[in-house]
Amino acid sequence: MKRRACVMALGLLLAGCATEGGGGGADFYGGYYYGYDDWWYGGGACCVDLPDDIGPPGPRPEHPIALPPDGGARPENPIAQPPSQPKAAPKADASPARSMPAPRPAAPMRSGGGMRGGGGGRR
Amino acid sequence: MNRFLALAAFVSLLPWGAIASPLGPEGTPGQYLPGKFVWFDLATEDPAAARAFYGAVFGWSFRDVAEAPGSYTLIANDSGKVGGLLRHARPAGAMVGARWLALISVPDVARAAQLARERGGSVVTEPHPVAGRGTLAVLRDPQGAVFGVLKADGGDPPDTPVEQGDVFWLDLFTADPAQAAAFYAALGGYDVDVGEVAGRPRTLLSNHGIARAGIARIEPSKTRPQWLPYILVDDVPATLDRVRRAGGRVVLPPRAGLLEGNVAVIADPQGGTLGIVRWPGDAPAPGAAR
Repeated sequence: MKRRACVMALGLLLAGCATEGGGGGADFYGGYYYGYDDWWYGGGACCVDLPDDIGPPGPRPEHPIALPPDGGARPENPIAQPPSQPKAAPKADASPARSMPAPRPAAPMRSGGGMRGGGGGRR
Repeated sequence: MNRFLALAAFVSLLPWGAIASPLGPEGTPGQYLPGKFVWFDLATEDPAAARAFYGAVFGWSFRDVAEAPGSYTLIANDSGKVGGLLRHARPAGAMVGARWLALISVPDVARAAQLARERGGSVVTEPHPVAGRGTLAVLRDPQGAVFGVLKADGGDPPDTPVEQGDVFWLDLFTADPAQAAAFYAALGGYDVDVGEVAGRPRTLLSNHGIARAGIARIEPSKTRPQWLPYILVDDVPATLDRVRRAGGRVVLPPRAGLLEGNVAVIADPQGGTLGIVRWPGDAPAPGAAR
């Protein structure tokens, strides 16, 4: 019983931190989190006249992002930039001729249909 | 005060040894992947309707965290947590009653907020700890897109293959991709890659050899600058059928130019927008790390 009381006290302390630690306000997560922010109002709707370059880069070889014509090596390949070298500041490489990174792969689908899988890929 | 006590009781009874972030990502304690999108929250005016819709469309399940003030609900698929859902009343005059928020892992939330300010963005919600999750802040980039940053108590999830019903991809819609890329590169430590698709530049944010998100140029008078998460599905037309039957809307139907018809954008009945994507091809994406 004493132990439970200690654990409860620790929980109370943590809760106090959660609600008093910043400029957030006095709610756990909801109300203030999205506050009365113009995010809710916006200047337009979603997804009107979207271009053809949204979504993940395609995995197929003929896709220009997945496999450029020359299949060139990435400039930041370890061969070109030894690990001992300090990493350069983030940069934009405008060359369309080199390989682009791909998203995390999709897990193989389970047999038996359904729309959900199992295993990894968690958050 | 009652809700503080309720939360205290809730937090104290959680299996901390097994789950360091019970209200956050299923991470590996002590391991972080800065720049990875690690959590997704739906703020909606009608949680019950959202549960019905997303359960029908993606097969998600929901677990109320009734003890936590704010009536937070965890969203899961068969293999684990996808994100969370919370009630938020629609502000007067707001165009929609639901919003998805994506949270990026950062090593230092206060530093991220400071960087956002220094680089033309702003802070919507100051950095603050949330029991059972970690430290988070809500930020706005220079063009107005809102996102969160999080340092989860329990670390970040590893880069394993993405399951059906999980978030597979994100796009930032913005009027100035170059400016946005520079902003997020500074904040999330991304490499920025610019390729070309259909004669247009295609900007990707990546790190650890994995593309984390894309940046697409939009016309801001038509589409609000925003982040859009995409859920991995195994059948786009069937998913769109479920969207319609469940009272949602197809905002952007599949078209040949978008990953060969394997991408669409939907809205839930309250107006929360999500992308869906079927990954064409059986083989894992080239270059993706495990």
